Amino acid sequence: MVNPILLIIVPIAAAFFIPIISKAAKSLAKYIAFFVGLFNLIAAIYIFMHTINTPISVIIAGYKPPVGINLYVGPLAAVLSIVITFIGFLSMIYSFKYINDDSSPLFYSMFLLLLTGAIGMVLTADIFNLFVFFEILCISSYALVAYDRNRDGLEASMKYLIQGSIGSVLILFGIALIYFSIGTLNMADIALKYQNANKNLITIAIILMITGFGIEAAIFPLNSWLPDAHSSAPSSISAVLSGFVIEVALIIIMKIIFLIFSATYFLTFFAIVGVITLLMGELSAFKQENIKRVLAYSSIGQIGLILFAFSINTPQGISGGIFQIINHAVSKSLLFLSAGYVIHKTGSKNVSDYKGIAKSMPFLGIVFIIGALSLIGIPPFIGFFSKFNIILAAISKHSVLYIVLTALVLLGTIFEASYFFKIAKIMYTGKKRKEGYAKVPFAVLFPLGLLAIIIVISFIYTNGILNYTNKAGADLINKIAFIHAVLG
Amino acid sequence: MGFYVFLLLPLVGALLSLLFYRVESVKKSVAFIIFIAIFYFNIKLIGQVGYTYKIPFEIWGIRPGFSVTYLGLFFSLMISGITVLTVLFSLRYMVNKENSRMYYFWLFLKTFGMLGVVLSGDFLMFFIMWEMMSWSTFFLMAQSGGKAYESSYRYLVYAVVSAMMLMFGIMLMYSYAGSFEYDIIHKSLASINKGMLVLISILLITSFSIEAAVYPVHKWLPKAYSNTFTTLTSYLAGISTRMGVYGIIFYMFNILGMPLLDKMHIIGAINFRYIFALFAAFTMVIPTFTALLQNDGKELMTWHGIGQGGYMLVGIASGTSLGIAGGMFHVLNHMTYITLILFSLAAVEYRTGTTNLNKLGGLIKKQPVAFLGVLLGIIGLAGIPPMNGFVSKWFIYKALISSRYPFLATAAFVGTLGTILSVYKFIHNIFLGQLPERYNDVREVPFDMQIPIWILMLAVFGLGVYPGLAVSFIAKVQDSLGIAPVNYTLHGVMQTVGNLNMGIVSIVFMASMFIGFIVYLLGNRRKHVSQYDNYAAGNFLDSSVPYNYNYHFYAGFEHIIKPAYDYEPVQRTENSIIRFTTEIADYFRRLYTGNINTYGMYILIGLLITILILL
Repeated sequence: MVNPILLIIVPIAAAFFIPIISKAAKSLAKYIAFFVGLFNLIAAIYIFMHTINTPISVIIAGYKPPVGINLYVGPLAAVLSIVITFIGFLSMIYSFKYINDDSSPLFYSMFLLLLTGAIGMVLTADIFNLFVFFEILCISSYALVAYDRNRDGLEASMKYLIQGSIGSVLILFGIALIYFSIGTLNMADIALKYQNANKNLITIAIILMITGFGIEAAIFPLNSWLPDAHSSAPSSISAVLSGFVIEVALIIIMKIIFLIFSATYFLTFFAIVGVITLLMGELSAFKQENIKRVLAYSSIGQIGLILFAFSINTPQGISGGIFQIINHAVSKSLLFLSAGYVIHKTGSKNVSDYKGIAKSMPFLGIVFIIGALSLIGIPPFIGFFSKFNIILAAISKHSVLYIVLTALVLLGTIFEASYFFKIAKIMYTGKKRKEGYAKVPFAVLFPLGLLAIIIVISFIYTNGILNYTNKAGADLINKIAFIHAVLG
Repeated sequence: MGFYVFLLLPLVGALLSLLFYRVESVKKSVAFIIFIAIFYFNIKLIGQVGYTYKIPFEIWGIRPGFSVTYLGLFFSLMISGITVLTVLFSLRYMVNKENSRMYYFWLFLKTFGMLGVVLSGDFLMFFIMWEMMSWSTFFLMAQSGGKAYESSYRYLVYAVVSAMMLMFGIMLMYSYAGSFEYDIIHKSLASINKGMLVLISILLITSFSIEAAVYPVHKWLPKAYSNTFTTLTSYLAGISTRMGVYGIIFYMFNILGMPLLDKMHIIGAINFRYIFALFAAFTMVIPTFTALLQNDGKELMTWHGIGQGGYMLVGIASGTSLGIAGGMFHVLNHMTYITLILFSLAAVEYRTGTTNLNKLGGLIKKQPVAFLGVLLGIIGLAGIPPMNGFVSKWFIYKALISSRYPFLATAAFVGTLGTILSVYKFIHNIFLGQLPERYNDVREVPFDMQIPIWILMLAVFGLGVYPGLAVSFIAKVQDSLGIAPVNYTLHGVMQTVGNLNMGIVSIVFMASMFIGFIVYLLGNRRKHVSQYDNYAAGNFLDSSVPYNYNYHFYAGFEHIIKPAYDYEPVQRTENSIIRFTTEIADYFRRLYTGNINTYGMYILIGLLITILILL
C-alpha cells in the first residue's frame, strides 16, 4: 500500500519547490498544486481502504517509538484525511480561476503547507510533532488570511496571529509540563504512563493544551479571531479554514481527552460550553450583514454542535460528531465557495446588495440553498442524518441536563434556519440582473456541483457513512488498541 | 407492485417537470397525466389496507417504511383527489404567470411529502416526509415572488419551530421505546411517567397545531396563503393546513389512545383534551371575526380556513365517536367547499385581475357559474342545510351538547354567526350590487376551468344529501383507531336521541324553495332594466354615481368589534419575541469588539474558568 508518510512529504516538498520552479514558469505552480492535490486525494482514499479496518503504525527513519516519531493511521485519521484532501482539492480547483496574480505561486505553496499541517496533525502520534504540524498549519493560515493584502485581511491576520501565538505558547507550555512529569512525548507512551505522574500537573497541562487548541478550534470564549479571519480570507481559503482546520483542532482536543488521558470528567463542562458556543455563533450570525461573517459565525455554531456531540460521550454521540464534521466540511465549503462567487460577481460582501442574484444565477441560488438546508439539518440532505444522530445520542442519555441542552441545540437550529433563509429570501427578491451573469466557469461549477450532488444523494449511503464514522469513533475512544498499535 | 408505482409517481413527475422546465406543454401534460395516475393508484390502495413496505436501504440499521391504514387512506384520497382538480384548474390559470416555472415541480414534491406523511409506517419516515412537505410548501408559496417571499419566510420560521418540536418529541419517545415503530412506541408510552407524557404530548400537539394554524400560532397563515397564486391558496387552505389535523388525530388516537389521553388530567373535567379544545374554541371564534374585517377575497377565505380548523379540532377533542366523525368529516367538507369558493374566486380573478372586494361587484350575470360555485360553497361554509358543511357541523354541535361542553358549543354557534356575516359580504361584494364599467366585457371562464367547479359543486351538494357516502369510510377509520364507529346511514346518523336524515332535510329545503319560486312566479310582471336606468334618493344613477356599499360593508358592526382587534395580543407577542431575539443577537455580536485587547482578555478568562472548574 501507499505509505501514509507520502501524504505529508509530497505536499511539503511541492510547497518548497513551487516558488523555485515558478521562477522559470509562473503558470507551473497551478499544475503542480493540482497534481499534488489529486495525488493526495487518491492516496488518502487508498489508505482509507486499507486502514479502515486495521489501524497501522508507521515508523519513521527506523527509530522505533517511543523514541522516534511515528504516525498512527486508524479509521479516524483515514476518514479525516479524506475530508481534508477532498475539500482541499476542490478549493484548490476553485482557486485556479481567481488566484492568478504575481504572487500566486506563494499562494499555492502556502495552501499545500496548510494541507500538510492538517494531515500531519491527524496522522501523527507524537505530541511534539503534533505541535510542529500545528505551527505549520497556523502560520500558513495567517499568511493566507492576509493574501488579498487589503486592510481587512491584514488586520484580521494580525489578530489571528496574536491569538494563535498565545495558543501556541499555551500548547508548548503544556507539552513541556507533560515532558517534565512523564518524560516522554509519544502519545501512546504518555497514555501508558501518565497515571504515575503528578495528577494536578497533568490536569494543568491538559487544560493548557486544550485552551491552546481551543483557540484554533474556535470554542467560546476563545473564538474571537474567527469571524474576522474567516470573513476576510479569500473564499477558497475560508472554505478550507471552516471546512476542516477548526475541526482538526477540535479532533486533537478530543484525542487529548479520550485517547491520551481518558480525561472524561471534562466532558460535562464541555457539553455546556459546546451549547453556549452554538448559541453564541447562531445568535451572532442572526444580525449580520456581511455574508462571509454570517457563514463564519455559523461555523462557530457548528463547532459548538460538534463539541456537544463529542461531549455526550457515548459511541453514538462521538460517531455523530464525526458525521457532523463531514457534513460541515461539505456544506460549509459549498456555502463559502458559492458566496465567494457571488461576492466576485457583485463586488460586495453585503447581503442587501444581492437582490435578485439567484434569479440571474439560478445555479448559485440552488447550491446555496442546498448547502444551507444541509447545514440546518433538513431531510433528505446529509446534514439531517448527522444532526439527528447527535440529538438521538443526547436524548438517549436520559439526563435532565442533556434534555435541556438538546432543547437549546434545537433552538439554535431555529435561529440558523431563520438567518440562512433571510439571505435566500434576499437573493430571490428583486429584479433579474442582465449583464454577464449567465455563464459560470468550470472551476466554479465543478466543485460546487460535486459538493451539492454529494449532499443531495448521500442519503442513500448513510448506513455506509455511519459505518465508517462508527469505526472512527471507536478508534477515538479505544485507548488499548491505540497503545497496542503504536508500541506493539 | 401498485404501491411502489404510487410512491414513485410524484418523484418521477417532479423529475420530469424539472427536466422540461422550459417546455410548458410537456410540463402540463406530465402533471395532468401523473396526478390522475396517482389518484387512480390511490383508489386501488383501498383494497390493500394493512400493507407495509420498507425502503430498500438502511438508515442507522433501520429500514423506515410505509404502511397503508384507513386513516392514512382517508387523507391520501383527499390529497390526491384535490390535487387532480387543482392541476386541472391550473392548466389554463397558470399560463403566462410570472415566476411559475417550478410550479408543478414543487406541487409534485409537496404532494409526495403529504402522501408520505399520511402513509408513513414509522416516526422516522413520518419526520422525513413532514420536513419534505413543509419545505416544499415554503418553496411552493415563495415562488410567486414579491410579497410572497416575506410571508412565506414567516411561515418558514414557524415551520422550523414546529419541526424542531416534532423532532424533540419523536426523540423523547424513541429514547423510551428504542424504536420508531408506532406499535412499540404506543406500548412503551403506557409505562412512562405522567410528566414526560405531558411534555411529549405538548411538544407534538403544539408542533401539529402550528401546521394546523390553531390560535394563537396561526398568524403565519393568512398572508402566506393569500400572497401566492389563487389556485395554490385553495390547495393549501383545502388540504395542506389539514395535515396538522391529521397529525393531531394520529397522535391522539393512534399513538396515545384514549385511555392514555385521559390519563393526563388535572382536576375533574379539566384534562389535556379539554385544554386543547379551548384553544380550538378560540380558533373558531377569533379568526372568523377577523375574516369579517378583510377587504381581500383571498385573505377573507384564508381566515375562514383557520376558523373552520377550530371546528374540526373541537370535534376531535370532544373525544366522542360522533364528534371525532364530525371532525374528520369536516376536514373533507371544508376541503370541498373552500376549494370550490377559491376556484370560483380564481375564475373571477382570471377575468378581472383582482380579488379586492372593494373593487369588484355585480358580476352575477357575467360569471354565473362562478356565482353558483361561490353560492354553494358559502352555504357549505356557513353550515346551512342542505350542503355538506351543515352535516359535519351538526355532528360537532351534537357531540358538544351531548357530552356537556356548553362553552364550546356556544363558541361554535358564535363562530357560525361570524361566518354567515362574512360570507354574505364576500358574495355580495363580488357578484351583487353595481357592475363597475371596466368589467362590462367580462366573460365566463373557459369550460376546462369550469369542470373542477362543477365537480366540486356536485361534491358539496352530494355529500350534503348523502353524507353516508363519506361517513361509511370514516366509520371504518374510527374502527381502525379503536374508537366506537359512528352509527351512520346513507342520509345521516342513527342515534338514541336525535337522528339526522339529510334526505328529509333536503326535501324540506327544496320544497320551501320551490314554494318561494311559485310565489315569485305569481307576483306582478317584472321589467328588467339596466343598472343605470334607475334612480335613488331623487338622483339619477349613472356610471359616475357608485351606489353600492362594498366599501366598509359592515361599518356599524366593525365599529363594535374593531376595538377588540386593535390590541392584537398575538401579533404583539410575536413582535416582541422577534425584537427580543434581535436585541440579544445584537448584544452577542457586539461581544466581538474587534479590539485585540478584549480578545486577549477573553482567552485569559476562558483559561481561568477552565482551571477553576476542572482543577
